[in-house]
Amino acid sequence: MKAIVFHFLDGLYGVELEKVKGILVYEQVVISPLFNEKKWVKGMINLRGEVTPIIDLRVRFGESEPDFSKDSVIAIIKTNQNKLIGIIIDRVYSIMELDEDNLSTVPDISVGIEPKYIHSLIKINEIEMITVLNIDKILDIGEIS
Amino acid sequence: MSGEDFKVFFIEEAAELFENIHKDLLISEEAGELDSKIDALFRDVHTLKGGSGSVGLMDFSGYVHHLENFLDSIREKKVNVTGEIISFIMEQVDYLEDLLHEDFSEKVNEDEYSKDLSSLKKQIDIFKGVGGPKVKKQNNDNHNHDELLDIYETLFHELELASEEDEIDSDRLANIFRSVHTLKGSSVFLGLEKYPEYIHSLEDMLDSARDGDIIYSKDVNELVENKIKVSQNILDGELTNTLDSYEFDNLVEELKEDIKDLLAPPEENLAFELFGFDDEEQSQDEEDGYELFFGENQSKKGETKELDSEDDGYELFLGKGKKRKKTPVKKIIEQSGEEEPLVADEPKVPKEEKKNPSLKELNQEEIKVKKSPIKSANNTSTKESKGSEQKNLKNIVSSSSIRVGLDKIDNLMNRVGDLVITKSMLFQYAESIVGTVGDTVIEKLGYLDREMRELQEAVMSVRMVPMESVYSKLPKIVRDLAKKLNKKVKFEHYGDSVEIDKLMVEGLMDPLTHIIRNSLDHGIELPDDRTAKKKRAVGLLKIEAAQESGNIIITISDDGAGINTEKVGQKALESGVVTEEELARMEDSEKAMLIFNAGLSTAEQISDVSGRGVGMDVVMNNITSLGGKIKVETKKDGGSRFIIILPLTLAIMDGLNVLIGKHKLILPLNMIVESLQPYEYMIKKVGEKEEEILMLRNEFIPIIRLHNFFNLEHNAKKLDEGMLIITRVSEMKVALFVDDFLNQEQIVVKSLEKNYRKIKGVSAATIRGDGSIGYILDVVSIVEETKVPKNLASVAA
Repeated sequence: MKAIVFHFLDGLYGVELEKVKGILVYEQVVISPLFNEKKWVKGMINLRGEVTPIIDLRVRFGESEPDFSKDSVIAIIKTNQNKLIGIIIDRVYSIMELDEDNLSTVPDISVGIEPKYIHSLIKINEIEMITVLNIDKILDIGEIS
Repeated sequence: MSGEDFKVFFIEEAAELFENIHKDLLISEEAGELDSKIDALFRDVHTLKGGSGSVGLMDFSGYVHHLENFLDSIREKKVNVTGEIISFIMEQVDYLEDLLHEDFSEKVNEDEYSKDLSSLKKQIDIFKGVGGPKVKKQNNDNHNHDELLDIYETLFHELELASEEDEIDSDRLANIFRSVHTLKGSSVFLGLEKYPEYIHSLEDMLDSARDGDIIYSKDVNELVENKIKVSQNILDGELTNTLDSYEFDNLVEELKEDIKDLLAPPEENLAFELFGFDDEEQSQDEEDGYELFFGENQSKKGETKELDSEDDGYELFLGKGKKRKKTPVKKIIEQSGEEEPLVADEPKVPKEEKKNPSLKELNQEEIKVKKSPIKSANNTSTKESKGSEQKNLKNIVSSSSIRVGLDKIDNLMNRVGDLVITKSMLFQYAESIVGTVGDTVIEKLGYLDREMRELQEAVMSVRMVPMESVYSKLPKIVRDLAKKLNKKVKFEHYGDSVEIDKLMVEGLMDPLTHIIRNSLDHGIELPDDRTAKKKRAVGLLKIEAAQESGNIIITISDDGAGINTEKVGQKALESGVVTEEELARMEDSEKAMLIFNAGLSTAEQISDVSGRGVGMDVVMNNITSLGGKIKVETKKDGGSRFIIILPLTLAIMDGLNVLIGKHKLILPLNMIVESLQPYEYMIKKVGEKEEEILMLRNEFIPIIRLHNFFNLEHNAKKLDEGMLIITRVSEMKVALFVDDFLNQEQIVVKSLEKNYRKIKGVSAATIRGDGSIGYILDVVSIVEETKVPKNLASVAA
């Protein structure tokens, strides 16, 4: 499985590359805030003429304060509901071919992310592992609102 | 285009044809006769047959064929048209529509199909029998028989005269032909089947003789005489039911063989040409006759097919023939031109076709064969009708048009939308330029703005279709339903040419159908009840469309019983939609509006038409999602009137930017009545919750603080510090409180639901010039959700 791996919170996280339709530099994007929506719905952006919502994953997973740097990027995900949704992530680490043999479906750690949002854990070397997110579940319209 | 493409193309055209057929049938039903429409009907049905055959929808095409034959008998006046027959045809056309879809998706159940087909045939036979000829047969049997004998007498006389002449002229031949033709016609009237078939072959032969393909020599004359005698035997046999069908078939075969033998080899034509040149004067004469004939032919082409005009031509020719004595037989060669192997192709006409005693049908087949003798009859017919079909549709629709996919137009629309966004970006930038340069740029941009509005209108107009396209399906719905409910209804529609966004048409069909169903089911009473109420027995259902200040207004009214507001109110109370208190304060018009609530139906008996209480709420939702409004007016025994107000388009609109704290929001301009900064004394507080209302002139207008609705920080704390924008929501005025209002702007509407979901109080979004997103306020839902006190609303109304 090819995945885009990024720094997020205190570790490495991955999203299936096929789902990612684009990467935007956070600083260059105008996000128009919404009101009355959940606090992790940052607002809407103009993505090539389409109005696209932006979700702050950090806030979504319990961090109270958003933390943006000049490295922050927005990954545009096409969900299985056929919606384009942007997620804010800290920094792209790399695009990796993940060996599914080293895959473990039992999440034994918790960083405040509910197990249902995690697809799998994959060990990439002796000391590092990647948490692959179940991004469809995370960005399910029912879940984010 | 692949075969599938052709299929799809045919389906599209079939839809139009069906629409035409329905329309014609409805008119016919009303008039109680088919005469005026039969030609058009026949043509459309014929086109359906041809088209479907050419794309391989054989089951469908086979069924249509029988219906076509039946229509043909009607056209030939062999069947007396009754209301029953018109209804029958309508049913069959309905069935055909279903069958077409089944055949298209290759889901035809063969057993059922053949059952349906045979029941169609049976029914047609019954009509043909009962509808006139058979009755006539009993009464006039002898009379007709006598008539046949008379014709035989004349015929033999002519034949005898011909045998005595050295040169058989075309008049003589025409007379013989006519007699034989009449024999055929009269025998069909007698309900005979075999005999006409025989006579028909004979007639064909004589026709070839007239065309010059067979030299009508003395020998031929003798042959004809013999065959006529044979035909007499057949006639007697069939009349006395003693005809042996095997023997008959042999006789027919024999006749055909003889005809084949007679068919002129190519040199014969030459002989005729020589023959025709013997008289200068006559050839001049001939020219005239031909001219006249041709002229007639031409003028007919527009309305009927060439096939028909051939017949007309024949009549005319006969008339002319009388005047011109001794015109050589050759004359007709001109007409048929290159089409020589006429009779040779005849056997190719499908057997089924021939069994049918209808003259026109056969003639048609022949003529088609004539047009391109190389191809088989079937292929040719489909090709033919395809061509004429396009011609017909073109005549109906307009001089020149093309079919374009909606997605292409949408794409065009989106591009224009992007341009509008880019334009406002330029405007924003130009405003930041200081000094005269900035002013000049803004002035120039003004031109751009104007050009772009025009461009946008032009693109919009491509998407606009006349209301006719909405109306076209309605008469059928009304008619079917009225019949089912045993009600008598006159359906009228106005504003056919008012244009409406194509996208809206789709969303509009369901609500309109629903309202019409409701009006018919609950509104218009049974004829007896109407008479008892001293109303005309026939109810009136009317739909009107008009364009008014950027809106399309569609009104559907009936003169039925009206909505029983008491009952609706009671129901609403029972289902907890309103409280007793609220109900007591409601006016009739408001109670009527309660029908749009889910789960309310006053129908005492649930019918399969309406009355399940689902529907009117769906109507409301559909209209609202189109950005429109609906209201209802009703009067006991006076009828009800539904008024639907729709925006002209969904894609681009004018909006007013309003400010709440840091947020710039957009109000649709067409909802705004006026805006003002109120004085303190204009604000009144009422009720326990101290609802704020605006006292403006003679009106009391409820106020909604938008910052409260959206939980936004705001600057103006007191009402007199900010602005009140008065909007009109379904005949009710509401004042929205904002900090300030800014510029007016043209905006491109973008869906929020595409990538997200509906947001409370926001109907859609737009992209601003600076790349940010603007949110368009959904005034209707804001008013609904804040539950503006109804009593106040009624004061304001």
